[in-house]
Amino acid sequence: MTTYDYDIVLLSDLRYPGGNSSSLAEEIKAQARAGYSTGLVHMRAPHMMRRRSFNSKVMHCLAAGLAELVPSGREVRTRALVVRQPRLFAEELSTPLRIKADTTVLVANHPPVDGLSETEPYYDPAAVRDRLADLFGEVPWAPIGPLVRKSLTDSGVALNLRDEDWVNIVDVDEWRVDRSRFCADRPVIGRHSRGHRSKWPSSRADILAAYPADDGVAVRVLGGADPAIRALGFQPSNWTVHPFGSMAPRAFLSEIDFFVYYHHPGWVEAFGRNIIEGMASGCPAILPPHFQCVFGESAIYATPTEVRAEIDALYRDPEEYHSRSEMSTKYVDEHFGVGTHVSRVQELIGEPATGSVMPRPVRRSASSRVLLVSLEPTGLGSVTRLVRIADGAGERIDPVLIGPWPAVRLGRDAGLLCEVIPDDYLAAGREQDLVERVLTLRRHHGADSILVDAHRSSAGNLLAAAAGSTPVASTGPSQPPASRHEVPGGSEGLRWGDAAFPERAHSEPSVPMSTESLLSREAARAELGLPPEEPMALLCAGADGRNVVSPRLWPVAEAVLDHGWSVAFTEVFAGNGSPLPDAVFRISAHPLRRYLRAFDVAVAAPGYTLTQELVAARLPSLLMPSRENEGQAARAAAARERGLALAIHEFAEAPLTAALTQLRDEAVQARLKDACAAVEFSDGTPRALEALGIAV
Amino acid sequence: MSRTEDRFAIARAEEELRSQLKVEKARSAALERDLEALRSSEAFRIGHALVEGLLGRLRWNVRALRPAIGHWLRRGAPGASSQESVAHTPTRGDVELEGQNVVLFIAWGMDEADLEQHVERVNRLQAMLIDVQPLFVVDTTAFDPIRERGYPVEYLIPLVEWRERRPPQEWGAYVTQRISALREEHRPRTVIVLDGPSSVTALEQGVINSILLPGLGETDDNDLDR
Repeated sequence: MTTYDYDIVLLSDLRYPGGNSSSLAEEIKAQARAGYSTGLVHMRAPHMMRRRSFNSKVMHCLAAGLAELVPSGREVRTRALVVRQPRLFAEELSTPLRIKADTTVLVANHPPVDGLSETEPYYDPAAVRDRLADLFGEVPWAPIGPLVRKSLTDSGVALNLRDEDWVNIVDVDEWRVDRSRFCADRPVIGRHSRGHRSKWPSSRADILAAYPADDGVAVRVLGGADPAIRALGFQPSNWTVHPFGSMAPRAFLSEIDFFVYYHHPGWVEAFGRNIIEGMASGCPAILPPHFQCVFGESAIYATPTEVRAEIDALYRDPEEYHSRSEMSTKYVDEHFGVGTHVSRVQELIGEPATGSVMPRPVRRSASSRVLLVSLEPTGLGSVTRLVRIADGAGERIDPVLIGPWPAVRLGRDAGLLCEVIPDDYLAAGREQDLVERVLTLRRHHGADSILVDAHRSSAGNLLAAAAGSTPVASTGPSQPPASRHEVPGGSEGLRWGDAAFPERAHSEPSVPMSTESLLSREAARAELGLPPEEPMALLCAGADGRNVVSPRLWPVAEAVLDHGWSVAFTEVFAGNGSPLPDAVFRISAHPLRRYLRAFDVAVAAPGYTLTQELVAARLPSLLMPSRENEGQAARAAAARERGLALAIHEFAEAPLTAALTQLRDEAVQARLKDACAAVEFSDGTPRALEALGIAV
Repeated sequence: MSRTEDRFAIARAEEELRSQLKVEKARSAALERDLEALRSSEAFRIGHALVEGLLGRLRWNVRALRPAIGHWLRRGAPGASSQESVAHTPTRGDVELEGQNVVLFIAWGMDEADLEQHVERVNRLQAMLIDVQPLFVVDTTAFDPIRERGYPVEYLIPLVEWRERRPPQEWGAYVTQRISALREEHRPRTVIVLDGPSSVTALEQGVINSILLPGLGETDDNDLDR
C-alpha cells in the first residue's frame, strides 16, 4: 500500500502578492477544515524577478500549521498535485522537482495572451503542456474562469481542458459585513486592486464616469491609484486612496457601499478575486458586462457612463440595496464558497487519507468582537464579573479578556482568549500608558467595542475619550463613595451611573439570576475532591495588594476548625503545594459560585462580587472586611444591618470566636438563608451589551 | 496572650507591614516616573547634550594620553571610539533609553518548571554582564518565576489557545503586531529565543554571552557598547 506524505501538494510561487496567494491560502484553509493534509512546494516563477518574501497569507497558514512547507529538493509523495499558475513552466526548470503524484492538475489562472502582453505572450501553452507532461504525464488544465478558458481555446493549442472551471474561493463568513446601514450620508464607491495600469480604465472619461470627481459620492480606493491619477492629471478631492496592502481588505470593504470595478480594456481579468471578496462582504458589485459569464445575475453590469445612475437608484432604495447585498453574498457562497473547493478535491481524490493531525480550524465568528477589560490590580472580583458577562452573552459576542495577572487566569480557565496587562501599567499615574496599551490591543484584535470593569474611573474615562468611535461602556461597582457599599438588591445597590461615563454606557455588574447553575452539594464536593459528609466551611480570606494570600488565613482557619468545621480555601495566588493540616483542603473552584453548595457556611472578606455570590447562593456567611478596604467595611456593615450575613470588624480572636459560635447556631443560619432568599437580583449583561450597541 | 491570640497579633503586624510596603512602593514608583519625566524634558536633554559634548572632548584628550595612564582607564578597547559607542545606543528620539540594554528573551512553549530553569540562568547571566535588562515574552500565564525576580514580562496568546476560538491563520498577524509593538516600546538590542532544554545549555555554557558581549573573545574589558 502506498504511503503518502500529503493528501494534496500545492505547487506555486509562494511570493505572489495578490490573488494567486490569496487563493492558495483559501484552499489551504478549506483543505485543513475538511481534514486534508497539505504540503506546499515553492517554485520560483521566471517572471518574478524582484526579491520578495513569501506572501504573508501563505506564511500565516504555515505558522498556524494548516500546511507544511516541503523543503526544496525533498522527494514528496502525494495523492494530488495542484500546480497553480502556468507561467511557472514558461521556461525550462532550473531545479528538478521530485514530486510523485497520483493525479495532477494545472490551475490556469492566467491567460497566455491579452491586450497588454504586446508582442510577447505571457507563456506558450504548448511549451508549458510539454514540460508538465515530461514531469507528471499528461496534465489536465483547469481554467479559473470562462475568460481564461476562452483565451486558452483561442490559442489553438491542443490542451486537455477540464470541463469544470477551477474557480477561486472565499470563506464568506470571514468577509461578511453588516450592511444594515449605509456608510455615510452619500454613496461610497470603492475598489480594491493592485495599482497597476492594467487594473484601471485607460481613458480619462471612463475613469471619471466610473469613479466620479463629484462631492455627491465618496470614492475610496485600496491598492493605489497612480495610473488613474496620472491619466487625470490630478486626484479628485472626493477620492481617498490607500496604498496596496495598507489596510485589511475586509476593513476596507466595511467602509464602502458599492464595489465598482473597471479595468484596462486590453486586460483579461482572469477571474477577479477582488470582486468575489467585495460581493462576499455584501457589497453590490457594478461591473463591465463581460463579467456576466462569471458572476451571473448576482452583479449589476453597466458601461462606465451608466455607473452613477445605478448607484443613485440603489442608494435611494435601501430595500432593493439590501436585497442585492444578500443576493451577492448568497451567490458567492454557493458558487465560490469553501464547499466548492472541498467538492472538487473529493472528486479528485476522495476522502482524506493521510490522517491530518491538525485540529479542524474554526471559522471567524460573525459575533461582535468585544474587549472585556479589567483594570483592577488586585483580587478576582473584576475578572469574575467579566467572565460572567462573557458567559451570559454567549454567541452574541466574541470576547477577549484583558486583565492583570493572576486574575486573568480565571478567564483562561473559562476558555476565553486573554491578554495580560503588566502590573506596572496599573500603578497610579500611568493611566495614559494603560489606555494606550488597551487601544493597541483593540487594534491587534480588531475589536468592535470595549467593556471596562474598574473602580478606577480615571482610566476608564480616559479610555472612553481616547477610543474615538469605538463604543466603550463600563460595568462594575460604581465609584462614588456613597454607593461603594452596595449590597445586591438594595436600592442603593441599584443606583448605578458613574461620573466617568454617560449614564447609558454604565451597567450594573452581571449577577447570577438564579441558583439553577449551582452544582448540588454532592456533585460539588465530588468535583472538588472534598469528603461528602463532613461539615465544611469555605474560607476566602482575600488577597492584599501584591496578590499574595492574606496573613489572616491560618489564624482564621484554626478558629474555624475549633468550631467543628473542616476548612476549604481557594488559592490561585501563591503557596500552592505546601502540606496542609488534617481537615484543611485547598480547592481549585472556578467559577467559585458554581460550587458554593458544597459548603455549610463561609467566612469571607466581603469583596463586591463574592458578597453577591454568597447571598445569591444563600450560604450563611461571616464577613470579615480587609483592614485596608473601606468598601468592604461598608459592605459588611450593610449586609449585617439587612440580616444577610454576620460581620466582625476587629480582627482578633475574641470577636471571631463569638461570631463563629453564632454562625454554628442552626436558627441563625436559617434566618440568614431566609434573608438572602428575599433578595432579588437583576442581570446586568443585557444592559452592558446594549450600551455597546449589541442587539440583545 | 494565648498562642492563638499571638497568631492574630502576628497576622495584624504582617498586614501593617505589607500596607506600609505598598505605600513605599507606590512612592518609589512615583519618584521613578518623575525622574523619567525630568530626563525626557527638553531642559534636561539640552543639559545632557552639553555635558556629553564636554565629556566627549575630555575623553578625546584623555585618550591622547592613554599610553601614559592606560591602566587607569577602564573604557575603550583598541579601535573603539566614543562615536561607535553612541551608534550602538538605542534611542527613542530622546535620551530615555540611553544606557539601557534591553534583551528580549522569547521563552516559548515552556511549563513553569522549564521557565524557572531558564529564568534562573538568565538571572546568572545578568549577574555576570553589566546593564543587561531582560524582558520576557512568554506564551504561558504561569510566569511566577519571572515575576518573582522582578523582570518585566509580556504574554502572547499561544497558537493552541488561539485556534480554539479564532481562525488559526490569523494568529501570525496577531503575533507580528504584538511583537512589533513590544519592540517599538522597549527597543531591545538583542532578541534571544529560549525554546526547550537546549537553550538552557546555551545559557549555561555561555554561548549567549557572546551575543550580548561581542568583545568577550578579544578583550577582558566588559564594555557592552562594543
